[in-house]
This record gives sequence, structure tokens and C-alpha cells, in this order.
Amino acid sequence: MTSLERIGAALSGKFADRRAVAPLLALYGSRLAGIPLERYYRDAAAYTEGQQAVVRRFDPDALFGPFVLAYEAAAYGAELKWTETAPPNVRKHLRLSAGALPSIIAPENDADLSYLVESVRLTAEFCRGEKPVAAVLTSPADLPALLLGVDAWLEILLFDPAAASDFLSFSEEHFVALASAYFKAGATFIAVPIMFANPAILTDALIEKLALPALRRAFARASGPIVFHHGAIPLAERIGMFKDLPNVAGFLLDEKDDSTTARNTLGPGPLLIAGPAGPTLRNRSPESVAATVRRFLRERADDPAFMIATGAADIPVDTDPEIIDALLRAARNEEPIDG
Amino acid sequence: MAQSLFDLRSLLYNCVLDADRAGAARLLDQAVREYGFNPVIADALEPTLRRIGERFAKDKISLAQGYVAGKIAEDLLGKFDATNDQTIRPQRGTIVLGNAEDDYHALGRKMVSAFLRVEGWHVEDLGNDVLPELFVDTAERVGARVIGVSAMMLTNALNITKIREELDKRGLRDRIKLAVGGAVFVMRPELVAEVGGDGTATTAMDAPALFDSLDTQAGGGE
Repeated sequence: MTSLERIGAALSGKFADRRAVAPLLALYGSRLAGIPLERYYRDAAAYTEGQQAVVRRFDPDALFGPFVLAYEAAAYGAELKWTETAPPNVRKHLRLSAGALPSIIAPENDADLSYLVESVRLTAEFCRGEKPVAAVLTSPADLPALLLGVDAWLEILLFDPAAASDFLSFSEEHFVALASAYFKAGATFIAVPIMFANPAILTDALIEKLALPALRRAFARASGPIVFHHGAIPLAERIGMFKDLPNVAGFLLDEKDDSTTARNTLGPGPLLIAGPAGPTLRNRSPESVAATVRRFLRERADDPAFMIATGAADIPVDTDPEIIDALLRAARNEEPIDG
Repeated sequence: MAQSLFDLRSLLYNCVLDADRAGAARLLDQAVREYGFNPVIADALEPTLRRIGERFAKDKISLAQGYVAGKIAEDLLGKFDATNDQTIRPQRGTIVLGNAEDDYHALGRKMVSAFLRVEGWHVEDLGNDVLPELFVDTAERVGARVIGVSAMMLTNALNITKIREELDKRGLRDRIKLAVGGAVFVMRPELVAEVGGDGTATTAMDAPALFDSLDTQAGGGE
């Protein structure tokens, strides 16, 4: 059974030969291939070389495009900060007013967005239809936070609803343009980290009035399946708010989430994905990581529509590979599951 | 009809839950006219913020509601400052606050600043992307016993190490304490020690208690 078939089975609610497992090793590929980040995150061929090294070393069931949401802000002029250990991040946000928003940048007209799309295209080519490739894309509710900063976006959402609507409309168009480019490049699905529609961040009134309608409109225009990424915030207790979003094939939960609560709320349909938080792996023991994986496997023992992944963000480059091995072993060493 | 400050707490609390900054301002303006600033801050705003903080710590309140709580406090303190009457509120000393070098995520810092000011601290807010030397120079100049540094991302949080080194180089380890905070410290509590922090608070509303404790450790109140 190929990885694509394994995840396809989970998506259609059938047990596979074993649980699919897909740690987020987008960044980690640079370490395995020995490529400095300034090259890794500028040269799509170098990125793909890193993902090939990931397959050789770990053989996960899915690969990811670069997790560099900051490039989406950089396309509109945000200043980036580079480090030797993490993907570039926004160094300085923009001062944009709702009345003078820039034109949507077509991915092919921007070096950073082109790099993201080309990395997905080359990685998908390399996977030759045997492994799914997920592209990572900023949600329309979150792009303004990347562009303006969290506090400026929160201020607009809370106190200037007309401007908030303008920013959300702008972000929807950006989302649709980049999602289309990703799917055209061969992405199997897109993973969308979402914070500014989570009740931990916004009030229910703002979610219902502004954030959810924006997600609904943008997701309906996506030309492929979407995985709703928890955005490093627990999701399960309020996941019902998002169950009817169009094109959402699965939900990536937070490590603190109770997957049974999520399943009971969602019903048997969508794929649930869960596992330890990626950024925490570097400071954890292999046993702790494996225990988290086993906890989720126990919780979902009778649930075919489930797979293991890592949550939050990339696994840091200085994580001991044995910790990732422990995660994979725990996910794969389950008793054979009959179908 | 005048309402008691006790009743005002519940009304203010509901304004925060509804993210109703304007409604809170109306209530507070009316109360200040009836009771004056000091009782309103001490007997209505402070207890309300503590209640909000308790709820925030249990993940029962959103960041937006916490932000509105900070804005309500800022609005009232802004009006108080405009009276130029600094004698009617007790001052607890000065805190130096800022975002770590290269960090531009101001939200947490602004919220902490508002809650510290409500509790009577004077806040010397240095803003975003503050160099280590400036933190320590300012603390020495204003006689602060605590420096508070905020960082959202790991790479920026690691820059706090330079503040620790600067404090130690000047022999200030016992006289000036280093409070650290931000999303990355919530996710990775071990980072507090890694960057040389003396303590952290999980939420902005827990910050005043942390600063109280660190101020005492640094000899405050002696």
C-alpha cells in the first residue's frame, strides 16, 4: 500500500494496513540535506533535495511544502528576518489602510511566492503520486495579522468592522490565488493554520460575523481539499463551529485536544489528525513523544478516519532524529488493523 | 441614579466579555464623576481585571476580550493622566518594559503595561526591538528593580540572553530582576531559564503578581 492509498483510505473512512503518519519535516529537510536555510528557502530545487532526504531517512506518509507563511506577507512588502535555525519570519509589519490595499500579487509575479509554488511542484513531481504533498497556506482570517501585526489586526477586528471586512476580502482573493497555484502545481491538499477564527483568540460574535464568513467564502473557492490546522491552539471543544466549512477534508488537532470530543462533535466524516506539537520535540524524550502518539492511537482505535502527524509548527532542526524515529515507530508499530 | 462601585464591577466585567470598550468608558466616566479616579480604579477596575485574569488563566476568555480589558484600563488611565494630578494614586515604583531585540509583536507588552499601570506601577515602555544595553541603561537611570521583556518567537526570545549577560556584566543580578514573557515561553517553559529569566507569567493579567514578587526579591519594599 502506498502512502497516498493509506491516507486515501483514512479519508474515505476505511482502515488501511497501518496508521498513516506525517511529521512536519519541512524545515528538517535542510538539516538532512546539509543545506543552509538562506539557500533552502530561496531555491525550490534545494528544498526538494531536503524533502528527498526526509523520505530517505524517515519515509513519512506525506510531505509538506515550505512552512514559510511570512513569504505571503513579504509579497506585499513586509520586511523579513532570517536566522540560521528557523524559516524566515516577519521582522517588521506593514502600515496598510483598508482604503488603500495593494493589488493581489499573482504567485508567478513574486519571487517568494513562486518559490513556494515551485517547491510544491518539484516535491510533488518527486513523489510521483505515491505520497501526498501538502502545501501550507495562511488563512484569510490570519493574513492581516501577518501583514499588520497581531495587535493592529485585533484592533481593526474589534473596533473597525468596515475596515476588517475590506482586509478580509483582500485576504480571500490572495488565498484563492495562491491555493489555485498550489493545486495546479500538484498539491494533494492544503493545510491552513487558523488562529483568528478560534474562540481562544476572538469573541464568538466576531467569529460568526467576520472570520467564519470569510473562511466559508474562500474555502468554497478552493479547487481541492483543505486541512484545518489548529494554529497551535486547542480546537476540539469548539470544533463544531467549523464542521460545515466547505472543502475541509480534515482537522489537525492540538496535542492538548481530546480527539474523542472532536469526533463526537464532527460525526464520522472528516479525517482527524493529531500528535505531539512539533516545536516541542527537541526538548522531549523519545518515550514522551511515543506516549503521546499511543494516547491518540488508543483514543481513536476504532476510528478509521484518523492519522498521526505533528502539530503547531515545524520540528526544529536541532531535534535529535531518534525522537522522530520514536514517533514514527509508535505510529507504525500498532497491531495490524483489520478492515 | 448612582450605582455602587461593587455593582460597577459586574457591569464592567460584562463589558469586557462583550468586548464593549465604549460601554465600559461610559460606565467609568460616570463613576469617576461620582467617586473620583482613585476609588474607581482601586475598587472597581482592579477587582474586575483580577476576575478577568482568573478567567483568562482557565482559558475561558479570548485574547480579544483580554485586549479589550487592557484598552478599557488604558482609556481610564489616559483620562487620569490628563488630569495631571499624580498625587492621588500611590506609586509602587518603576518597571522597564520592552520587546526583545528584533521582536515587533507589541500586543502582549501593551497589555502587560496597562495591567501594571492599573496596579500603580510607573511603566517605562521602550517599545519594540529594544537593544539589551538600552534595557539595562534605562533600568539603572530610572532605578527600576525589574525589567520585563516580551518575545513571541524563539529566535527573538534567545536575544534576551544578551540582557542577562549585560545585567551580570554590570553586577546587577541581585538588584535588577528579569521577567520574560510571550507566546514562546508558554509553549516552552524551559526557555525561561535558558535565556536567563528570573520568572514568567502565562498571561498579561498574571504579570502584576510576577512583577510584585520579582520586585520584592530585588529588595523592593525594604
